Amino acid sequence: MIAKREIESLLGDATPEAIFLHSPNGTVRYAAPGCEAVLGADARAVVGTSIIDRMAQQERPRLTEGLLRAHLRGQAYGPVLARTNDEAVRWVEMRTRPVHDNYGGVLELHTTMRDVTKRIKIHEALSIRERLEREANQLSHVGAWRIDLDTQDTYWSDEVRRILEVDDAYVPTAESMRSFYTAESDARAKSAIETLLATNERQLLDLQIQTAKGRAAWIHVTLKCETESGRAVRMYGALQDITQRRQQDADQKQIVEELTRQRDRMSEFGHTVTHNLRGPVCNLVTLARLVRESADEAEATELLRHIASSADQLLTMMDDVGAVIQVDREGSVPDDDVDLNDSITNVIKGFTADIHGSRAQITWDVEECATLAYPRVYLEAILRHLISNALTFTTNDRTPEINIVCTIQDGDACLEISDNGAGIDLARYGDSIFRLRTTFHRGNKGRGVGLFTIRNIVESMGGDITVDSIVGQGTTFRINFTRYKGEKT
Amino acid sequence: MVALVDDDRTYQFTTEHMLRRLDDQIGFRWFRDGEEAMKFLEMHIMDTSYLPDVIILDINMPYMDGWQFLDAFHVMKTRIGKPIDIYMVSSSLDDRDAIRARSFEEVKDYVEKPITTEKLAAMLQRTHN
Repeated sequence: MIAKREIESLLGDATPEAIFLHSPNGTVRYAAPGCEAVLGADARAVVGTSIIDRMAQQERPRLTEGLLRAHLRGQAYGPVLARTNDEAVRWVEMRTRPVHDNYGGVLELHTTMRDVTKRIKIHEALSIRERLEREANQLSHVGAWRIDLDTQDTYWSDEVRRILEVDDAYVPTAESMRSFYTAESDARAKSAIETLLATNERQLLDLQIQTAKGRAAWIHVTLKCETESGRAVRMYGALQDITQRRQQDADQKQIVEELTRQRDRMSEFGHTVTHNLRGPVCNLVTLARLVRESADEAEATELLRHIASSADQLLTMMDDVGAVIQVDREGSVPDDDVDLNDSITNVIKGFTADIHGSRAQITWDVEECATLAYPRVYLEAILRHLISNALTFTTNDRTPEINIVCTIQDGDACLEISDNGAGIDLARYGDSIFRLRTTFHRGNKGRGVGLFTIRNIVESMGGDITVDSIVGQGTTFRINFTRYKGEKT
Repeated sequence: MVALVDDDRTYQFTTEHMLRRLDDQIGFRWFRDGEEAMKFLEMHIMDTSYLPDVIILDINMPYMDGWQFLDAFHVMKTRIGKPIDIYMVSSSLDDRDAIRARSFEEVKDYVEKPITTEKLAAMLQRTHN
């Protein structure tokens, strides 16, 4: 048993601690004078009240339990929130141990309280700052790394581990980073380190990696060097996951390219349309003037006949243009799962008479890409135009043969329609074959609208169309349905 | 004589009509494209009575367009038995076409459609002088 005097001498020095002797239920039997500094209450006022009541409301259940545990086993706990007389809230750390009598029974509990408000506040502030920093790093995906060049000791921050997708158990070595780089990135990283060590100048580079879980990613790495008396002793820097940013940049670039292509197409289209519509309109203007100046009735009648036919021509042309604009306006026609076999058969049916007359052979192989996600009306329009061309511009000396193949190239569906017909002199006409009202064959079989329309459809859906041809041997049109993935069935 | 190289049937009709109003004795020939015209010139290269004094040339034509005709004409020019004035006439409003047309020394002028009797008269006048 501890003598009262001993206790008093123990507590008597004006320590920042408050010391209590109290029963297991918290009723204070003795409070040392330091009590006031901690609880803001006079020691005499505390005696006889419960120590538990001095604590903040939410701490009481925990404390009640804690005192019981201290009674049974002896326990230290805290910090807890204390309520003071001046209503201020402060943090106290409590240490409670039982005071035994000579027989091992518990006489009372002995509790020391220390005001730790300041410490807690500092700790809180620190941990908030740390937490914010960690969160900021996570948000910007920035990690830190360091390599001691003498000992090869290597440190990776949590974020580096997160970016590289290694678990906490992973122990990095100075060379570990290299195992994540692609060969090309490894070479660049190596040369950057050499430059850094030679010049002591900060290095910045974007590297491609494959994470521990196999994810392809891009990181931005800064490399710096610390020297001691001119000797490099430590390399350190930051590492940032820029995969998303690069993807966004790439997406943005694609959008800009697409818009630019669209704008160029519209500008060319506008030019084509004004030019082509202007011809018949000019004729109408001239004809009208001639009618006005004409004194001869027979002449006027003939002029009027020409006015009528010019007006018809103008209307046809406007309808052609209208059909093309329709495709652009409908831009987002939903895709169908087009069965190429069905579509080809369907389109060919429309040419039964021509095929019968010319005994043309049409074959197709769409095994590699049998279905295509594309608007069916557009795909069939493309097939119809190209098959019609191939059936029209034939040679007289051989049976027309048309072959259609659909393959997958670099993940995109690619449709080829080849014939053994008259061919087009591409050295002479080049890309102009896709222009409106451009025809290449004597006999005036074409109106110069088909290829213009097809190109417009294909390009407005994000693909492209090209042509190969040898005069007298045949022509191949190739359509890349970029972004329209073919599917094997 | 005036030669018109243009695939537009109505344009041929109105131009011929206006020329005849200006001069009912005038000779007139129509070619549907550059190649037809070129074949004719080649065939009558020294035959000055068949060769035109003025060629009214369109730009957009099938088979051989106005530019290709000018290139071919430039090559054969020295062999032709008489001087021929070429006027480029087009419905194009593109400045680049006008600039390009005037860059050919063979092209006397670039005229935008619709062509008027006055413009035709000026062409004939200039050639006669």
